[in-house]
Amino acid sequence: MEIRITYICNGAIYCGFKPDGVEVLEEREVLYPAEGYELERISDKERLLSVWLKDGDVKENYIEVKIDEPDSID
Amino acid sequence: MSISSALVAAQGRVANAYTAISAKGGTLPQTQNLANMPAAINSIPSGGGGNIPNYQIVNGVLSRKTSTYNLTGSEFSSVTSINDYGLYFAFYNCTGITGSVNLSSVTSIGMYGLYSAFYNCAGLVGSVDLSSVTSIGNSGMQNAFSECTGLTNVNLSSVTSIGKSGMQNAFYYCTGLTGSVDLSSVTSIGNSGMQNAFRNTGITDLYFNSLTSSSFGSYTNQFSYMLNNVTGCTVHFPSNLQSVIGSWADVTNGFGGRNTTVLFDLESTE
Repeated sequence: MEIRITYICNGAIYCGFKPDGVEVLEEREVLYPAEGYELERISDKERLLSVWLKDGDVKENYIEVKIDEPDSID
Repeated sequence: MSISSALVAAQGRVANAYTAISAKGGTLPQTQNLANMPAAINSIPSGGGGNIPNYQIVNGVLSRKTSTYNLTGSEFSSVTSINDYGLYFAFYNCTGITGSVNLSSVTSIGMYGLYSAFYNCAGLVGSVDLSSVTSIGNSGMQNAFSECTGLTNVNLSSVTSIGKSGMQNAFYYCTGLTGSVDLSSVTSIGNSGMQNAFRNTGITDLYFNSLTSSSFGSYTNQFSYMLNNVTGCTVHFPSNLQSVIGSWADVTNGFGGRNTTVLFDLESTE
């Protein structure tokens, strides 16, 4: 899994990178699983494709779980 | 129940079973009785079954699906609307089909109209012309072109409304799909409307010029993982929408993509 930073600016949002010279209003840490995996929150087993780490949440609260590919087509 | 009526009922059930076998691609015997049924069941091809109809529509004629077919691009050119379930699973997994799809006269796609219609038709190439389509019903294009790796671009420039799951997985794993996608006429998107729509493609820009603050109803998941595993795409919205969608999790995670840029750089229409 990997943490990428999202930079929220006036009129633009940059996910995972920050161009030079932009004024950043807010930064968010977003946790992503490796390709082919999703995140599972250890505490309640909820499956997620990404997580905004806030309010003390940390990546150690999650594990990666392989997902079935391709998506089912019910 | 009398003996005669019980026999009639049993005959009806046998007939229904043969209808189901035929729908799954099985070969029907000349005499459709119980004795011949096991062989008929065994004739169902591998991969057949489920809700997969074994047919194709060419020049308006419904016929049995063949393993290979070269679409000329004009087969659907006179079709102006696709009704509910119109091409539901029609060419699902037909990897032998080659050529291109011309749906340029279609103005509306009903509920499940193109659901899995061309799923994994890896032999399809070039553009998908949906330039006249204005409305996509609930699940209307769900999985429609998933895993069609030979497609290179799509025209959706007239689409104004996308229903619930309307484009979910529509171009999922179309790895040959590149460049801009014009969704500039879209004014409403239903629940999960764009979910995974362009996952694992190579698109570079998406334009949503006509969205307004009232385009989303009570939902916030219209764009869920729309760009999952897409790198470097820029998504353009009207300038006033940052205050509406700018804090949605699906927006701030870059729609699941890598190095996504979200720009609120288009002129507001409200």
